Amino acid sequence: MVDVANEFLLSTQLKEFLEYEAKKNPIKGDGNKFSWDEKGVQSDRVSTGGSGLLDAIYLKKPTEGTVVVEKSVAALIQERISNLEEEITRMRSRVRFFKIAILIFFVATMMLVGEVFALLRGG
Amino acid sequence: MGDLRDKFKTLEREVGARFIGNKDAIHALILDQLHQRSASLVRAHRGLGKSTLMLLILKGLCGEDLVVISGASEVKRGEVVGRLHIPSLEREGVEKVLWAAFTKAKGKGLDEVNRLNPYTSANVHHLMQFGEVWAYGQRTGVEDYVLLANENPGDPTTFIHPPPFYDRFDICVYLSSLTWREKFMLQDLIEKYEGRLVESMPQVLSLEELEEARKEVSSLRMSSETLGQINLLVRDFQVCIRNREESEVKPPALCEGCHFIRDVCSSIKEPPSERSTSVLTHLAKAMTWLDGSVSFNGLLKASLWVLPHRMALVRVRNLLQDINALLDRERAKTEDRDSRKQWAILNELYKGYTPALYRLGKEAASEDIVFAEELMRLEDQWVKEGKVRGEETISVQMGWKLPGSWRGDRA
Repeated sequence: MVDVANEFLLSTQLKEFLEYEAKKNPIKGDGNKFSWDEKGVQSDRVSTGGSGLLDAIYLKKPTEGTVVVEKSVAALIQERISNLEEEITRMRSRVRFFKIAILIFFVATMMLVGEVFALLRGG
Repeated sequence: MGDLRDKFKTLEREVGARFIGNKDAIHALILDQLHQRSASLVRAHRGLGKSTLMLLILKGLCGEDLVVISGASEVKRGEVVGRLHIPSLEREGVEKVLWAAFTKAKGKGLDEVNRLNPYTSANVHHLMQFGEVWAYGQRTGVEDYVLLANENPGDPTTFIHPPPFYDRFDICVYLSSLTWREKFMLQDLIEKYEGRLVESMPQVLSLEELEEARKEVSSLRMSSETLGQINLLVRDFQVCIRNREESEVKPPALCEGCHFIRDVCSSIKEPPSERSTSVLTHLAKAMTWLDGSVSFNGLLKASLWVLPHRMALVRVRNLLQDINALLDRERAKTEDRDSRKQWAILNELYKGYTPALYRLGKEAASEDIVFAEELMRLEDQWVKEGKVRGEETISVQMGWKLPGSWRGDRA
């Protein structure tokens, strides 16, 4: 198989688009450290950017002393918790169903064994 | 060029002078005529003028060289394409096909398209797909045309045509009923033209001029910014980190517990086809040619004509309003992307792997699936090159998978 994955074939238009966007919204960095935000020109929207809590949950990053959570992130976590709770409720009802099924099966088996013993004695 | 543009503006004015209201729909239909083999669909409830609008545009472009077939009348199987010449068969034993007027006409109208029988719609579908028609084992090519169709989606006596058939229509515009003021205007108009709105419509362009205009528009080159916006818009409506396209389980069940459950993707049951991209590009070119420029808002507006007949939403209350709401979210998403400066990050990452930038990229990827897809492709390459360990990648950490990839590749 020819391995074409070593080099990305980017179309000229895509390169131009990325260059254009990079000029429009440049990132600040010195080679080792980069940041999204430009000091002093943070808008409200930007200042509510990433969240340490999400990084800790999804990217397994260690959390710092205090974690500040913005409203949208809190809503996202709330949504995910409610989804998980719904999942737990569904699972619990399934477990209950299986418990009852197993109990009925057990009782039926016992009755069958009793019948077999009774038949053997009678025979 | 200016002359042709003026003629198209005149066409829009002439149609607007005979059709009250729905100015956006008229403009969309005019824009869509600016590329070869155009096919436009008008949807409206009965009596809102969808057939009139179709005829006005066909007449304005093709004059008398137009044929309309109607789903409301009896169209026999295959008759729309051609019929057998019986005398030739009887006298000479030769199967000679007489190609139907619909096949030969430059202007093709399909009235009540959802009432066309499946055989006729299959013939029309083949014509739109391959630019040719078949009858009695013979084929003939169909030259460039203008095709306009209309339907009433609420009509009970309809056939359900397959989604690929509707996908062949470049745009689908909806007509709304007239406001109180507009009703007065319509009464004046009917009086002025003595009820002969369509008959009074002049042919504004010759067919040669139409062809020339289409060539001019086609030769335009769009800026990379516009192309990037179009591709992002369509990708946002297609993408699913759980690969909706190949999944038997569809949203909302598929989205249970998904990281991107609050994103646009979770509202889409069936994504739009790749054709949306080319149609939006055609429309962007047409806007540039006719209106002088194309903006992001213009593209969002055009999406309202391109997407409704190509996708299915999870919950529909009012299709146009629901798509409008999704497009509003797209606008906010674009701002978020700008504030994250993610394209600048991707630009650098394409040039080479930088750990600090990769970390920022991972954060951006957890907010945007389209970006995540691109980053995951880069990760694949970096894992192969030994720059990144498999378990460090966002795809492993988040349990995401690119369509068609095998997790074992990361091992």
